[in-house]
Amino acid sequence: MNKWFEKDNKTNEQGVVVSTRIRLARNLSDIPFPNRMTDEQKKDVISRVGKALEKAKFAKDITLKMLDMEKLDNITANAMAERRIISPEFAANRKGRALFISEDESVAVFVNEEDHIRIQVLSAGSDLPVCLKIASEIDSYLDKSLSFSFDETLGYLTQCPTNLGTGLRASVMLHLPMMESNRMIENLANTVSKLGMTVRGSMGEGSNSRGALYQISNQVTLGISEQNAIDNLMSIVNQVIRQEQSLRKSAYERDTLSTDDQIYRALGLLSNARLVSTDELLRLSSLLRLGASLGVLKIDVSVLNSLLFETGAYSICEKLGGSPDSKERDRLRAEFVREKLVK
Amino acid sequence: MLCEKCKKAEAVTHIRQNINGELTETHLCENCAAELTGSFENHYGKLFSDFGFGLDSMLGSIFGQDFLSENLLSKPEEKCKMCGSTLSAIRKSGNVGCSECYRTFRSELMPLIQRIHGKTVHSGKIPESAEGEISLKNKIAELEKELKKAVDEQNFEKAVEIRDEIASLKNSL
Ligand SMILES: [Zn+2]
Ligand SMILES: [Zn+2]
Repeated sequence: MNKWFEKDNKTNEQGVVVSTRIRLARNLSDIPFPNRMTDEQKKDVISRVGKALEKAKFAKDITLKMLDMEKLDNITANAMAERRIISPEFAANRKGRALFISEDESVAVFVNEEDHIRIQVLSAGSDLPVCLKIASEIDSYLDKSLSFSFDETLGYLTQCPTNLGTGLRASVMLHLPMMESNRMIENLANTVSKLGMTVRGSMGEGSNSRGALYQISNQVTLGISEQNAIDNLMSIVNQVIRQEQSLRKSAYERDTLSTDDQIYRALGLLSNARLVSTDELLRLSSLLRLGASLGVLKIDVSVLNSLLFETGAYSICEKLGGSPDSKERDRLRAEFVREKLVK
Repeated sequence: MLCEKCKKAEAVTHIRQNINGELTETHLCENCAAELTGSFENHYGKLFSDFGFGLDSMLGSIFGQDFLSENLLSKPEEKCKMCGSTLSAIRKSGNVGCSECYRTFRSELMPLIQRIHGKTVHSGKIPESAEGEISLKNKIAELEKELKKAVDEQNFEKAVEIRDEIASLKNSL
């Protein structure tokens, strides 16, 4: 089955939005938060969630299968982190943790991460309301048997006070090559911070963000409803999309030949190189993404997403084997990229 | 510009927060930023700092300000009855121990919460499991206002009626 990022996405906001994520933090009231839990209590929470989800079937036929993180090997776990399913921290510390996950990996329930339960919904494109609806349905379903810890003033109680209230973290990953080259990211970060949101590089920070990928997310979770939080986020995201698009358009009109040249060079390199590092791939596939959005190249979004989400060191090892030796990995990565681009 | 933490390397990134109209900004080099976000084995790491990046770094200083007040240090520390956490333990880790901690240390935690979110009252989804109790509490609060009004108006007959209703609602809590 295709993963969530491989689905054909016609509505990816003209090549600016890469992906969207919703997370809800929830806890049980009768058990201490993960930083104070015993091993027994961790097992108890996993089994309670397991029981609650056993026969659950959600809208769109979503069912969740349990993955015991303790039984997962290092490569599989870290490859999942590279696919954005779990955090690198969750991949690294697997003891006493479990994951309930849908087949396409778009929906996941983490157990014993930073909170007892975190519900995550991912999507390619910018369907925040749809993602929130799915997450909320799972939340309500689990609440029936687990009775989440809730305070009428502070809302959902969480291990870290930064998540109190709705426990909602919504984020949108954007590809902003033109805003970046025009040095507009800092300004953007400044503006959104005044609105209770943050911008940061998805693949490195600030001016060094690799692949021109940035993430905008809500920061304030108390005193603002879920709907208002995602409305605010979407209105910012839409403005950013418009700005990036108009910069792309004017840059392309100003110097079509040079832009075409850069894009085709990137395609040429990636279609022929025998060794490709993740750094180089991020830099060049950013140009391919730009080329696709300008209509210069005909590359499916699903292919661009594969180049982004499936080419980390562990993902390459998981799929193609190979030694952990980095040269061998770079060779296998180059092969994977060539095959994707030929198809 | 030099990194504000180590003051050795060139700052390449900054963490900016605007909480409650107060803008704080820290410029960091790659190493210090990585330390802050947790150094991850692979380049995808930073994507996953949704829950906490930026704010984590603030927490230390916020907790510091809130909990270092003298009266807290002079008396033996209160412990949460459910998990055994003390305020200084919460302050040290930046993590609250359990749901009960939020009741035990509410007055101490409130300024911190206010500073993080700018607000202190939840708005949004209420779980079904809590709905009944919350609407009951709201009803009682409303009746208490009516009771006061009835007493002020010297309408004692009505006041007795309301008082009994409040008592029976409180019984079912
Ligand atoms: Zn530094
Ligand atoms: Zn406690």
